[in-house]
Amino acid sequence: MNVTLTDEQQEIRSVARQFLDGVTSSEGLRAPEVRRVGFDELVWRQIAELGWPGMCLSEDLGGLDFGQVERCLLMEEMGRVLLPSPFLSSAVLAADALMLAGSGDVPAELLTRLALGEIRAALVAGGDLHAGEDLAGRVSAGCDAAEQWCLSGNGGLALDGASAEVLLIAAAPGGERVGLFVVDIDAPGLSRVPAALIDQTRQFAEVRLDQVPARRVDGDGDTESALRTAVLRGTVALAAEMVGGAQRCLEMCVQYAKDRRQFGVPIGSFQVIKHRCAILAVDIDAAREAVMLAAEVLTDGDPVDAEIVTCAAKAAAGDTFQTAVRDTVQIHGGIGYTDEHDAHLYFNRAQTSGLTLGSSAQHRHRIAELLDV
Amino acid sequence: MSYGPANAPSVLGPELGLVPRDHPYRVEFRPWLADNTPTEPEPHYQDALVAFRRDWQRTLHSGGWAGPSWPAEYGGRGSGSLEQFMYYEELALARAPEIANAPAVLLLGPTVIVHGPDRLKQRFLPGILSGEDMWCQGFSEPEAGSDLAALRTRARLDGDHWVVDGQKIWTTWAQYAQWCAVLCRTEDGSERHRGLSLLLVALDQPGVTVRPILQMNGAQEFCEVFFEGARADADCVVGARGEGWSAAMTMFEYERADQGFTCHARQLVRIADIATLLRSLREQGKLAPWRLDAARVQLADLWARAQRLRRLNLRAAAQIESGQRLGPAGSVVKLFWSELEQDLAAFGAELLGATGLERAHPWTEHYLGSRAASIYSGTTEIQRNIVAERLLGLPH
Repeated sequence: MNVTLTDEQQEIRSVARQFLDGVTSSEGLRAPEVRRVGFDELVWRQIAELGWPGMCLSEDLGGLDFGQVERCLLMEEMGRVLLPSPFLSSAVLAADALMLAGSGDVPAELLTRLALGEIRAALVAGGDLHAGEDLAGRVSAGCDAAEQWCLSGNGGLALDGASAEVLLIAAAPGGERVGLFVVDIDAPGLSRVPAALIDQTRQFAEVRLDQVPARRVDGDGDTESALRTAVLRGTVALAAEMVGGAQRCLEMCVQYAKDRRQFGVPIGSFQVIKHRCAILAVDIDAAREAVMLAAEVLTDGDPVDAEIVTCAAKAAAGDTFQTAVRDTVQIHGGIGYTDEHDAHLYFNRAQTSGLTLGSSAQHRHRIAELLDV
Repeated sequence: MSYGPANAPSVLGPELGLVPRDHPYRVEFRPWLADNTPTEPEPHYQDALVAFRRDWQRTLHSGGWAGPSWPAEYGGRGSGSLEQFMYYEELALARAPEIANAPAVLLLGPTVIVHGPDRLKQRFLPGILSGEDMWCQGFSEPEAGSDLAALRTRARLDGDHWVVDGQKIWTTWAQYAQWCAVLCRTEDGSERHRGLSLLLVALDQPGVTVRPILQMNGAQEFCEVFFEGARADADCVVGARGEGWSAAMTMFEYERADQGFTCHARQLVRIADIATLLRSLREQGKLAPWRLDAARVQLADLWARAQRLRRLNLRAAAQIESGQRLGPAGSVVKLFWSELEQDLAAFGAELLGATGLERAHPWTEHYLGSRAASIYSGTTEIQRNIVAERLLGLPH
């Protein structure tokens, strides 16, 4: 554990920032393709070339074998520019679920392709927005006449559920709490209905299953706990992304407060504006520390600690991002309320991310449970 | 010490690799604390409290554990900032009292060590660390609060003595102090932060009057100190004559940093105590369901905030350890800490119900005392200005 970043970590961050600044723009966020599928294919291929999809996968699977801290640094940078990308769904949630819970040839082969970014997977777990406590949600697994696994039920709104090229689904087989299954996207009985949510830079789709043939890919180990760890890692990654978004909002506010003049002076010389920015700066600084702490504990710390600090990180990031986007709209005044300005893109992302993988309130409730109060 | 079940998180939070639970520094300090920490609660009445804390400082000093940051040649341990981080965590876990002479041990002493001169080090440092000499800080004045450079207290050289005239206020525990570090104007014609000197003035003399101020919490920690022709030896100047602002800034920097090491651990212990109360209220069915739900979430939020503070403090300690200066990041810690202090104190008192309104209850005292946290050591408003202007670059 380093508290301050190592040279290598700083390098990862600055390379990411440089790359992302080059491939993202205000217009790019509004591209029809992004609105439709939730990401830019060309940028995703460049990201694959950088090896990011295999960030936390082992080298024998073609990954880079970094820890959670390094991946969170990437996520924070992606959050700054609101990168529309399947990174969280495929390279974090699906890859980690498969890596931690998977067993056998199918997961290994799939992970190798995920690491290279050749294929995009999405995880269906926890119901709507992956926020439910029950991982299998309303999806159950049974056997068809030919003794093949088949899944039925409603998987809820899954991140990149419509654009993914393969689905990983947490479902409850009879007598067991949860198993992990792979479903082909052209399988009979599967329907994926894109949701029209306010966040135009990120796509969710409702995944409905009616006797859909599936391959079971988890092994004899504790699938429940493996999947929970994967979800925690996804949660801290999302929290990092949210901190990045909040940071960019603060930068926009500070810049606008310096440039915008009223009553003959920059509005940033007024203490009401200054203090709003200062409060946000303190919150962001602290939220980032919460995320880094969780990333470290998730990499090599105690499992009970890992859950509680991840909950703390998501709650802090959620609250901070929410404050940041509301302040951004307010400080920018009229222009901040227009479609032309980027403020609403951040605002809407804060709303979806706030609920995805559990709201701040939900995470505080879980912290209370873990503290046994 | 941990929360409820055996596999629950420890009071301080997760294991941090830089300052692990089995670090030799902790392992050495912990048994000493177990043998020497007073088991009786701190006295309620202030004279007794100060005497109690003075005794504790003597105990620490005789055990070689006072002033961890002080170099060994001045009686300290020469501990680095990460060791200090652990020192204050262990003190908090042991529920050790504070020391009587804390401001001088944490701020003035280290400032004298940095700025000198040597003869003042030899003369004053031993008494500061042992607690034999109690010290106070004469900075704020009635017309110079947040705007410290507006101070009016003056000193002029008369032969081999300074003659000091003016008034200080909010001077903590001046009624118990034998000495005061007085920031005053010594250079004729100088303005604002130029031409000030930090003088060390004895309080037990005819030209000094100390008048305690009764506070809203019933205590008399703050005092007014009047200087009317008070005298100080000509060589009792910290650093260089006319450069008092620089010495004062060093003290403020220590103040920010030391809060960093001292603040989160006591808060985490307090949060654990509140959790114990909450658990017992829950088990006795004394809270309505709506109240219990709200309280649980509030406690979770306080715990999570204290963990963020712990991490901010560890970062500060690591930065100082590697030779960096804290700068405006100290203001981030002060803001975060003081808001948490007020919120957790208010929550604790509220949870007690009517008992939390009893003046003598320690949590009530803590609650009332916490309202000063956003005022002393630089108000919240000033700290936010510092963050906005120096960290974010917003216009002055």
